[in-house]
Amino acid sequence: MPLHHPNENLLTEFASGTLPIAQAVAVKTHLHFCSECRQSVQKMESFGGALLEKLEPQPTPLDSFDNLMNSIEASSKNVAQTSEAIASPRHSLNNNLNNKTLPKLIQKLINNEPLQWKKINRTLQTAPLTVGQNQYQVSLQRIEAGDSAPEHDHRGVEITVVLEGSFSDTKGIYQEGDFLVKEPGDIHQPISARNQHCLCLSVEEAPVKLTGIWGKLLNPFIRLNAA
Amino acid sequence: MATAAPIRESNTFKIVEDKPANLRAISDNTQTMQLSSSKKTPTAVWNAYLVDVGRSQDRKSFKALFEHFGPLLKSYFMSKFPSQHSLQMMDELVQEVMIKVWQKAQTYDPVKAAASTWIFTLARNTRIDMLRRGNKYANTTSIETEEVWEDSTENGPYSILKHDRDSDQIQSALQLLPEEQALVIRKVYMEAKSHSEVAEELRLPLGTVKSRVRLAQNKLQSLLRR
Repeated sequence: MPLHHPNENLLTEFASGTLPIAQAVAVKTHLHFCSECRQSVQKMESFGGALLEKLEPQPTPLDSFDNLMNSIEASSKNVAQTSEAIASPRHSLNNNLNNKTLPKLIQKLINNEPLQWKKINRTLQTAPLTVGQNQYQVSLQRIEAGDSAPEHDHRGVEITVVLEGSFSDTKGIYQEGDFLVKEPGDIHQPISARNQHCLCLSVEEAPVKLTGIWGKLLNPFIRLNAA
Repeated sequence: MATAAPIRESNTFKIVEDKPANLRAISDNTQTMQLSSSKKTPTAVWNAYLVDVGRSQDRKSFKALFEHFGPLLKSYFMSKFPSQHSLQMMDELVQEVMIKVWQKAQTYDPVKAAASTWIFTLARNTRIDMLRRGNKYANTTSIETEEVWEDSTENGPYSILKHDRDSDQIQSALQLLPEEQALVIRKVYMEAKSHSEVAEELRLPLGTVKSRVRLAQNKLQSLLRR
């Protein structure tokens, strides 16, 4: 069971549907590992249901039920489309990834496109993931066993969810399912565990000045501190 | 007329209710469900209609659900979309949700969530879908809204206590919240505003809004435990 969770306000925004999809993907990934937070989200959804019951009803047109049944009948004549939760792997040669144990959503993101791993330096690689927006940079990050990633700070809020392995920094040790938030100005140097690489999901606010062109950048958005 | 019929069993566990309500599914050809005790709560009624739709595509039950939830859903959508969107669009969104209710009712499990909770999650996802459709980057991904925000009964064996799922009890508890807490909770869940948006609208510090939401939810929790 993870020890580091999204805070209650973030879970509330997730449950009410106000969280941007990139951050929602991070929360959903944590939920895969954490039954405690799943329960919290269920409770919040129950609040939503009760609040729905207490709204002031707005009248619907007189013929709306008939229209509804007509629409239902029309759509049932079409070929039923079932959407698969797990896409069949189209790009199974995504190096070094043990797909089957990763959360379904992550598997689908990985299989959505050929992963393009970029070496940041000797120890850190990143691969962007597409969730259908441009406000946040969503990526996989991999630190090799026993290595430290470069010390860096954050231009924007960064959420990290540990997918495999673990890493530590001066503030703690983070393992599978752990959900961390780093603010601009937080400087840290993650070090992966000695015997295993560390794979994380990262969701970072794209810095405003790079938003228009980040897709063309070859360099990462993290700023390396001079040694 | 009424014969005791077995409670519907899901694949993983039996439905166990500590205070079962008297439920009657209004339908042409289904058996009447009868459980002990005499109290028929609204939550139990809507749950039963929804189970009925899932089990036998019963139109009378579906119509009852539509007549009750349709106007509430319309109110939900009207509260978050700007007024330049037409009422017709609101009606279409209500239809979109009710079509999902019809198509997915088989997956609904009253042990896991009240009907109003389940329908709320469908409405929430419909709203998210609509916003994503308006985003020019939306078709760069194959991720479906439901893969990120699941319907509330897809989470596997139920894990929250009965009183936390009982919509009537939560509605009563909501009445007891201080107005300032009730207001922010409504804006977050029903007007689907982020904490920042609520802070801006009410001209309050962000921290105040966040703590009011937490206070409201903690108070609801403690009221439900009584």
